Amino acid sequence: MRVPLEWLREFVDLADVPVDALVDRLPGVGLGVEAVERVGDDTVLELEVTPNRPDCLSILGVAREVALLLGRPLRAPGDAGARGLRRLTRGVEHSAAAGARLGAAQRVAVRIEDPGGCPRFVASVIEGIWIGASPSWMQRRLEAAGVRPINNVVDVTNYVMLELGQPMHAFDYERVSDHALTVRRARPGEALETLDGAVRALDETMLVVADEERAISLAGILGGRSTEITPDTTTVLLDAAHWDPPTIGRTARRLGIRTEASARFERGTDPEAPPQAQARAAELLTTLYGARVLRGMVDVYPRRIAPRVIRLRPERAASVLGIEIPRDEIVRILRALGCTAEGARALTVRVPTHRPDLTLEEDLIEEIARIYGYDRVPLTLPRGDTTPGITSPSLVADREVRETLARCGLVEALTLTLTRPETAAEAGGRPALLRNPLTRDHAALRTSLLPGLIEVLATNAARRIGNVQIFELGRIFQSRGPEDRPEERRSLGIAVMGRWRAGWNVPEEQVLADLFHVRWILDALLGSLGMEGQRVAPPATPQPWWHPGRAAEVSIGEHVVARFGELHPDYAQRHRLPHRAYLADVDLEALYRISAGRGRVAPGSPGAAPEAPAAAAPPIVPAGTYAGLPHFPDVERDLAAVVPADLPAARVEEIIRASAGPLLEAVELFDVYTGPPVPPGHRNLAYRLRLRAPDRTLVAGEVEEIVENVRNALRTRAGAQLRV
Amino acid sequence: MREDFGDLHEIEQQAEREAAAAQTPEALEEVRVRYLGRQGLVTQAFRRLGTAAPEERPRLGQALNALRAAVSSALASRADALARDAREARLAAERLDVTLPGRPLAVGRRHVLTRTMEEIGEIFRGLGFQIVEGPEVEHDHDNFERLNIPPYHPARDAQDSFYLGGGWLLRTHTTVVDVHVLDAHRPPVRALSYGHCYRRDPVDASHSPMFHQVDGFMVDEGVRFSDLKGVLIHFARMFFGPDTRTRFVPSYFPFTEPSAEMAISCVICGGRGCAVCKRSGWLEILGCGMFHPRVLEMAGIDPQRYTAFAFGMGVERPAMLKHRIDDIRLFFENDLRFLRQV
Ligand SMILES: [Zn+2]
Repeated sequence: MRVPLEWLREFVDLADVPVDALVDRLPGVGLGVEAVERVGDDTVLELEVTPNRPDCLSILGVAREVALLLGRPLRAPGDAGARGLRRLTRGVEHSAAAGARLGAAQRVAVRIEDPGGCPRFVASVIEGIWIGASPSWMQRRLEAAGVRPINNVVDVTNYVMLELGQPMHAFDYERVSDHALTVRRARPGEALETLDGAVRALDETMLVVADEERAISLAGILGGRSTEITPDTTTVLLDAAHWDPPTIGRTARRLGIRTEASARFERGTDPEAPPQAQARAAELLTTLYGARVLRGMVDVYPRRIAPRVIRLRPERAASVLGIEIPRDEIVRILRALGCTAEGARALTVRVPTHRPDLTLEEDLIEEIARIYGYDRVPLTLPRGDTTPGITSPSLVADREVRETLARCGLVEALTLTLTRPETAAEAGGRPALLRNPLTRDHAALRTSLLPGLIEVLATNAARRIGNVQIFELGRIFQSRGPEDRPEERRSLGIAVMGRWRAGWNVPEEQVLADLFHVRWILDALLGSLGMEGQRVAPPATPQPWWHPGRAAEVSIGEHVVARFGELHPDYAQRHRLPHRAYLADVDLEALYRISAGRGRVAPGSPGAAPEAPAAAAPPIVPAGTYAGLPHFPDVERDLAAVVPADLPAARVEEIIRASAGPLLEAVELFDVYTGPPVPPGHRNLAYRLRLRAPDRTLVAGEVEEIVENVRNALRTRAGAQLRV
Repeated sequence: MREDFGDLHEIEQQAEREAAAAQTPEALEEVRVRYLGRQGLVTQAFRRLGTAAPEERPRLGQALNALRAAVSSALASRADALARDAREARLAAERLDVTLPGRPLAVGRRHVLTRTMEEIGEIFRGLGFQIVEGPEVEHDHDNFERLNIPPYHPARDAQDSFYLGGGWLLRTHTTVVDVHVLDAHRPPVRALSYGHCYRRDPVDASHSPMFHQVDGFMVDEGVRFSDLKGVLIHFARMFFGPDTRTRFVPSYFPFTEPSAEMAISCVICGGRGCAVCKRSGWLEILGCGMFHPRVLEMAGIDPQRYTAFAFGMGVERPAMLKHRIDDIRLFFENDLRFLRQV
């Protein structure tokens, strides 16, 4: 709401109040000042008015708040004096019968078919008007308030709306067929050309003002073209009505229209304001342009809206606010707000009609605190039982995952969940699509974190940052049908490219990220979650974005918990990546469940929405248990086996572990060799075995026996030739 | 007889001179052999001891032992000196240009927004809040109606949502998590959640279709607006620093009554006024209030018996203030140079 100060001064004395002081104090009553602007030789305040305060979408409403803030009386606008203000604020007597006796009633008929949508409609007729420009003072005020001057009649309706908060509409009287207005629901298929030239398709949920033939105005939102004021207009039919806020809000949103009128009506205007607005408009039209206002106005008010009465318990106010405000003070504040307040213990409060937002005791408590001053409420800490401060196990696990990866040298990225539908589809499954995306680039929910991370590699590469190690932890989504809630899963993506160690004279080939770099990161991650016994194997169903010979699946029990591999060189090239890129995709949802000891992840399970955790939820990150340091020395033995090249190393290791028995503490692969003298189609794998007994020093004999077992097993089960 | 043994003193002095003159371990070894070796001068002198007169033998033996000790000691100290020289020469040769740059290892980092959310979470956890989470896809009913925001309500304008169909939408605020917690738990409850939120805002320097929020609430008998102020001021001082001042002004949220906005003294200018705080000295960072009775009623909690305070804030803004970040898009662009700085 733009408030020119010289206009505001007509309602409240600001002569001795510096602008800065006013600007400082307005937020204290809830009127945020967005901007202070010089316009000509006046100052305009741009106020932030919250949706519950339609009354402050007017100079009068803001003046009421300012008067309250300064403890000053509200005064009459212009030269009208105190009498004028009383007329404005008290309104005129309304009565359907009143119209019947007086002038306007003979010239216009008003019928309300939907009193729920339109509780009140006031019409007046003005004759002998010459359409022209408004005087410059009025144009200046309108422009300062952000409204474009159009012609003297339309300007008066806008002026009154800005001043009093009651929107009005002017029809060319002669162009209203039969001079009869009906407020009704639009008919199916009915169309209306509005003032902006657009033809609107209406439906039965929408209210219109119609003449005998057709809809001539979109009620409370925008007038129609056919009855517009033109330079030839001589007689004007003015309407000021009260509309049901949700009806106006719904229609405005359905049609995508937002006008000064709809903004006020959808928030709720004062049902007592229409006759006041008519009186003010009549005053301006007669004094400025010598127009003749037909005596009386047609005031159809089928459903009288009575001022609301609310019971207020001062002790409730004290217990909600945490401060005892004296009863006298409460009564003073309520009266200053225009309420009446009476009663011995609980107060019976009658709320003025211009405050439709005040409906409950809590609303009054807020008003009292607002005027009393939020800054006067003390600072306390909550009383009562303490509650344990606990973090949900999944969030604790998230933190562990992030820290483990950061310790591995990875930087956390955060990409948008929204992506292109093709990207989401390519990454797997059926993406959930947005019904109302802003752009095609953000029209689907991601189905994997990897495309976003590849994009991060590409973005950085384009900025000449070729060494990138990143991860992201977030949710991925799968559609379960267009009307159903999508499946939501916690996921982790890892992407590495280029050198993981920099510096002079460090040979690049030794520090470029590769498949086994990612593998180690995954092992570290699984270890931090207390996982063991994971198996790595080539993927059951290879997917096109992986290098066909460099991709793997990690499984625990029945469940594939991660995939990793090299990005297919074609994809890398498409994204102009300067190095080979290695990726991992981890199903954290499954990992967390396994780690929490539930392990009930059915394949394709819904991955139900994460729930608020109960205090008893099992931890996901194990505490880590001290197993003691060894008391007896170990024995190390090296072993080199020439095995068929296509025999997976994991299988060789499995055979070693199985055949070595419980005294094998560790087995470490330290060399992989192909080439002479190893025969073609074979490779040499060199392992170091560490043996240890927990309770004694091993003797040579038993060590040799174990090693011999392993050698035999490798010969018979892996077809190995053993070098000494 | 004396001649047979020569002048022992002369031998000692000669041995010491030769040892001192040896420049290499090999030359020193030659000196040792010459005196202490099997044919060495000292060894031969011992062999002749038997030929000396019996009454001379003890004195002569003593003198010979002293000679052997002196020669050995001269050899040993020269050996030490040679070893020390050799070590020093080696170390001198190993000298490095210590001003050469270090060889970096990759240093990882959690995202600044993650750290900001976790930091906020930790502050409230210390006040007995449980830290929880909720889904990112919510139903219109929970996201809006349960928070007292009916369809077509003007308050929805500020929360234009992305719809998926069937009334499902991307949550516009984490306040919706409060609803789930209220449904699942009975008072007393203190809970806080954070995470992604989505609004249909065109992208600019301060708007992103995806952003982050933190929301918390406390429900119990006798929870007061003054408790809200006390708790939030504690938070502001923990997060922004002990000298932070706060200001509470009236505001409006459909789900709170009374509603307030908390501003902190500008962290850029200290409250004197600058471009960031639009010359006001204050920065609005947080919306809050007492839960509207309807919100408690819809969760089956009697608003006459229980009261609750609630608050919510964007995460980007405090992070931007703390780290002096001037464009929200930087958070989601993932330029490594940015991610490593903040
Ligand atoms: Zn500042």
